[in-house]
Amino acid sequence: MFRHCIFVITMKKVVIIISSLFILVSAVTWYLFNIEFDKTQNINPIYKLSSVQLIQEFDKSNSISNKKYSDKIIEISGEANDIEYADTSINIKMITTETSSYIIFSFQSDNMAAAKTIKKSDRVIIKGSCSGAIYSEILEANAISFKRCIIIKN
Amino acid sequence: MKKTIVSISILFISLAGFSQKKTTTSAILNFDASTSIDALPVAENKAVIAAIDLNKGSVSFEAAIKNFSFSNPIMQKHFNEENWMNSDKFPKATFNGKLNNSKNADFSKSGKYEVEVTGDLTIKDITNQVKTIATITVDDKSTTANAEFTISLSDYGIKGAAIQAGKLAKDPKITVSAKF
Repeated sequence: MFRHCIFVITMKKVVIIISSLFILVSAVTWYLFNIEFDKTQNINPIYKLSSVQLIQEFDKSNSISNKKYSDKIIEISGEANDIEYADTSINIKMITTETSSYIIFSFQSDNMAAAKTIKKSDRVIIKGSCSGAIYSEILEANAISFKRCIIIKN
Repeated sequence: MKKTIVSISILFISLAGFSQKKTTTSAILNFDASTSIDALPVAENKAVIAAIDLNKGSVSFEAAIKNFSFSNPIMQKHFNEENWMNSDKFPKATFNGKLNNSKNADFSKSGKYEVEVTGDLTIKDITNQVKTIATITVDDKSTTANAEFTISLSDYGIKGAAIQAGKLAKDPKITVSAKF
C-alpha cells in the first residue's frame, strides 16, 4: 500500500514535470517563431547624418563604415534624387554626383503610403536599418542600402 | 566636310545603338528555403543591382547579403552568421551570365521572349554555374526580366543541423525580377 502511494506520487511528479517542460518548450518555440522586428518608429537612431556625409564616409573606407553602420538604426537627411519602383513598393535614392555612389531606402509596408508621397528633389529625413554597402562592379560605385525604413519628415 | 560629319554622326549613333546596357538598382531577389516544417526561411532583397544588354546578350546582378529582409529577426541573424552566408566577410552575391539563344528573339519588337540563361553565380567567393529559362518582356517603355532557379546550399559550403533536421531546404528557390 505504502509502495503504491509512493509510486502514484512519483508518477504524478513525473507527469507534472513532463507537462511543464512541454508547455515551456511550446511557449519558447511559439515565441521564437512569432517574434518580429521592433517597429523602426519606436527605435532611437544611433546616428543622425546627411546623405552626403554617409556616402563620403563609405567612399573613404567601405570596411570601416560597414563595421560602424551595419545593422544600426540611422536617420539620414538629404534630397530624394530618384524614386524607383520595385514591384508594388518603391525605393528612394540619394546619389552623389562626384562618385555616383548612392544610398537606397526600402520601406516598411506600413510606411509605404507615406513613402509614395515623396517626389524627386524633395528634401526628406528617413530612418531605417542600415545594411551597409557593397562596391558595385556594374555601376563602379558604392551602393549603400537601408531596409525597414520610415519617412520622418517630408 | 558635311559628308564627314554625317558619317561620324552615323557611326556614333550606330555604336550607341549597339551597346544597349540597361541597369536598375531596384531589382528584386527572393530566397525561399522554407520546408513543410519551417516556413520562416524566406527573404527578399528589393535593392538588387542588375544589368542587361540585349544586343550583347549579357545579364548580371549583384545583391547585398545584409539587405535580405526576413520577417523573423532570429532567422535574419542566422542567415548572416558565419556558418551561413558570413555576410561580414562575403557581403555580396553576384551573377554574370549570357542569353544563349538571344539571336532567336527580336528584342527590337515588343513582346514576351523565353531565353535560356547560363552564368556564374558567386556566393561566399564560391562560383557555380547556373542554367535557367528567363522570361524577357519588351515594350515601348521598359524591359522586364524574370527568372527562377534553385541552388544547392552544399555547393556554396552552407551546411548545418537545421538543414539536416529539414528546417531549411537543401535546394532553396531563387527568384529574380528586374525592370529596366
